[in-house]
Amino acid sequence: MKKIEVKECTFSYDNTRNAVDAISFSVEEGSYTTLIGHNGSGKSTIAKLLIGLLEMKSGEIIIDGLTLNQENLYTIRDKVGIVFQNPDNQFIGATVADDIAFGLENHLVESSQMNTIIEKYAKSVNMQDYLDREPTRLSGGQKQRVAIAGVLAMNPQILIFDEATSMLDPQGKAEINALIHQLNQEKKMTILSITHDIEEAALSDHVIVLDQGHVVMEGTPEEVLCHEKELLDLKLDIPFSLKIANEFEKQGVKLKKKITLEGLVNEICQLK
Amino acid sequence: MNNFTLGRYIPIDSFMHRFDPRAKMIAMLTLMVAIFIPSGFLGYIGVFLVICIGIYTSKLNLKFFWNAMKPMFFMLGVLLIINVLVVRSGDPLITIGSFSIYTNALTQTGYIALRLIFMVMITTLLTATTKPTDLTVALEDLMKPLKKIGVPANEIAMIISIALRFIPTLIEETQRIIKAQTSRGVDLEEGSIKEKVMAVLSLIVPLFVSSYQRAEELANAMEARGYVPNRDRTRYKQLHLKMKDVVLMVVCILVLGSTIGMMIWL
Amino acid sequence: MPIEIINLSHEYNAKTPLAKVALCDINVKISDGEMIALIGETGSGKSTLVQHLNALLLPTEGKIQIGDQIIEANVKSHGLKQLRKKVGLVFQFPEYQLFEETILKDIAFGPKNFGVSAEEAEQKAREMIKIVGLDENYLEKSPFECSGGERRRIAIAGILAMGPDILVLDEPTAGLDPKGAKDMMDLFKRINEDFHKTVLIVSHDMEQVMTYCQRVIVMNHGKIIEDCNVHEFFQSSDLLKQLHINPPALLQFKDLCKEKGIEISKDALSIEECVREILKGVKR
Repeated sequence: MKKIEVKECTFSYDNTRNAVDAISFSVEEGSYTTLIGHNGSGKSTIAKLLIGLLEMKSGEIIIDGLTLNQENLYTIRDKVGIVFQNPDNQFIGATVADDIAFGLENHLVESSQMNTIIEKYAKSVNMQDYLDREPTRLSGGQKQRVAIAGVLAMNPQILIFDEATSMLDPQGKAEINALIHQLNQEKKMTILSITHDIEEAALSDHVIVLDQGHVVMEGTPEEVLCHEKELLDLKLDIPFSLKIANEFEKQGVKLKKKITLEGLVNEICQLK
Repeated sequence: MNNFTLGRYIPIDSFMHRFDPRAKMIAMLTLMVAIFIPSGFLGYIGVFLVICIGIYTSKLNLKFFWNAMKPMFFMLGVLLIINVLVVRSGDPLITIGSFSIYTNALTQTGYIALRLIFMVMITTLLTATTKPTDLTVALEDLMKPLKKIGVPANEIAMIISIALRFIPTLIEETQRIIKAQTSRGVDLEEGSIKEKVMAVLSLIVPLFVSSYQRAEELANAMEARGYVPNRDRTRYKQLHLKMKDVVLMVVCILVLGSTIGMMIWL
Repeated sequence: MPIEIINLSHEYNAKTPLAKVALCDINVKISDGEMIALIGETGSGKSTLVQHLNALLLPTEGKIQIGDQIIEANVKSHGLKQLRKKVGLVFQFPEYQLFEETILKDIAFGPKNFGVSAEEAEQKAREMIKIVGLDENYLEKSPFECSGGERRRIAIAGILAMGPDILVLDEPTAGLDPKGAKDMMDLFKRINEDFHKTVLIVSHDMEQVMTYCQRVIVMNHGKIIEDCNVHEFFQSSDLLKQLHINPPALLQFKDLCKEKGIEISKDALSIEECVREILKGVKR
């Protein structure tokens, strides 16, 4: 089943150039889809369109069977949770607990029930020991985990990560990526991750490549990430395993293209 | 920022810290009113006692209060000089040639000094023992009746709490920009007026640009998490009035009553 | 212009109850023309150290000698401003320090502060915009019209225009897309090689460190715990794991090969060398 469907969607910030240009794509229920593209390719604009923070010029967005419009905007926002790029600018509460509570307060959850919910979701992102901490005393990765807990507390079906790891150090990045995978596999959540990290894309189920507001390639990571020339032309990178495979080819041995190091090493073993 | 005492919260646990912030706020307001009632020195005994007990039970250092009052002393000094020169009532205390200092000059300065000292002590006591966020919550509750006449109490509280949340972030950001521009040769201390204007601009413009971006991103994050201005929300932080809170308020109201009594009686 | 740091310590809020040691007994020598990576976990003291090179922070113990200028703890130093001209410091997300109406004025701002004439400063701006890979017709635009990546280049041009001998960059590629990051690193390499400037980069990206730098300095809890040649540093992923550093992909690849019984020598630090060794082993 399609959880997100975008049909011929167009948006422009200044009416001269379309940031998103008649774009169409869909995200399957329970899948982990990555949307990749260089800075300025329109990725983040799409995230904002999906939850109605921006209003499209034309086209249609269907989320969980509902067409996005003014009437059901809030119903749709309940279904879709989003984590943004800057850890500081989405931390609303004075403390971790207050921040997780923010969404609950908006959804009129009784204050007597909040503590249980806050504890549950803080635990799910491993932040249960920090409930009283202020944001200035948390690392970037910890703040992003709190943001995820705050979103999860509202029971969304779809999670969008809008470059949620791009401002984090390697440790924070690894924590968040592991958490995303866990949410996808254990909680069966539909994930749409917007990124320019090609190695993250290699680990997802479905990859959509954007350029100038268009979808230029789409498919499984194996199908998409082997198009080296195209990816490099789009200011993206190619998986490290392909760089090694290319070197093999240069030195006269052609290997089957694999997008993960494990796959590549298995191929190399077969050379013997 | 470290020697700045006025308005700073001290995160320890004490008898004073555990009062309901609403009770503390009301107590503070009542005492403030009492201070401004012209009841003579005797009338301030009640206020003085409450403050003493407050300070004692707050586990705060007396030096902390002293620091909070320091900025006032200059003002009081100026006031004393003016009073000595201007006030010509009461008995002459010291006479030097044709110039005399009158007793009323001293008593009047004393009054004002006492009022100011009390005021600073009371506000310091409140802010040092109450988390800023709790003050916001208390304010929101106390403003509730004003909602009927169209005062957006919840929105005001939201604005204050977001401002409080972002003050440390903005201080950090300002320090970062100051450093960045200093390393580009900006000198905030020396230079001509034109250079100084440029120096200040080089701080304010980036700070404004980044704050604007922060505000936009924050607004997006709030909206994405279901915030709609002017719509009902529940509240995570609930305040519960206990017996001791009631006692605190009653005591302060009695103190106010006693000063009013003094004013009428004397 | 060589740098020598001797027994440097720094304590924030020294002599108050909030005192916190950020740097402890740092000793480093940096020679002219080196390209060095400074790495370590968040909070390990990298930024604090870097700010000392620009006299934005002063040592609470020990001293720093940059060229013939000495900054010593508890000794009032003069000419700190001149020092800042010699050491160009690019902060994280430098695009946020732009403020002038035009890019030309913004790039010329630094040199002018250091007493360069307006004409000369603008001449510098014209040179530098090209070096950072932007067209000269950008100069009359407002910096706020540009994209994030372009603004970062402009900010770096503004530092380069001051004519520093040493360029210090705090995570210069954070948040850039892969192409943007690669172009940026290529730029620093060019500045290092063609313009003979010492470059010190604070980085979290081990691929970059391995590809672009010659020397690695590792910090942990305010101390330097490793200072060596890139080749030595990336010999094996064991050391990296001890230091809580995620090994670069090439090392991960070598480890995987090892698990499967394919031996690659420790000295092979490029894809080319690794592949050659593997093929040699297969043919045998």
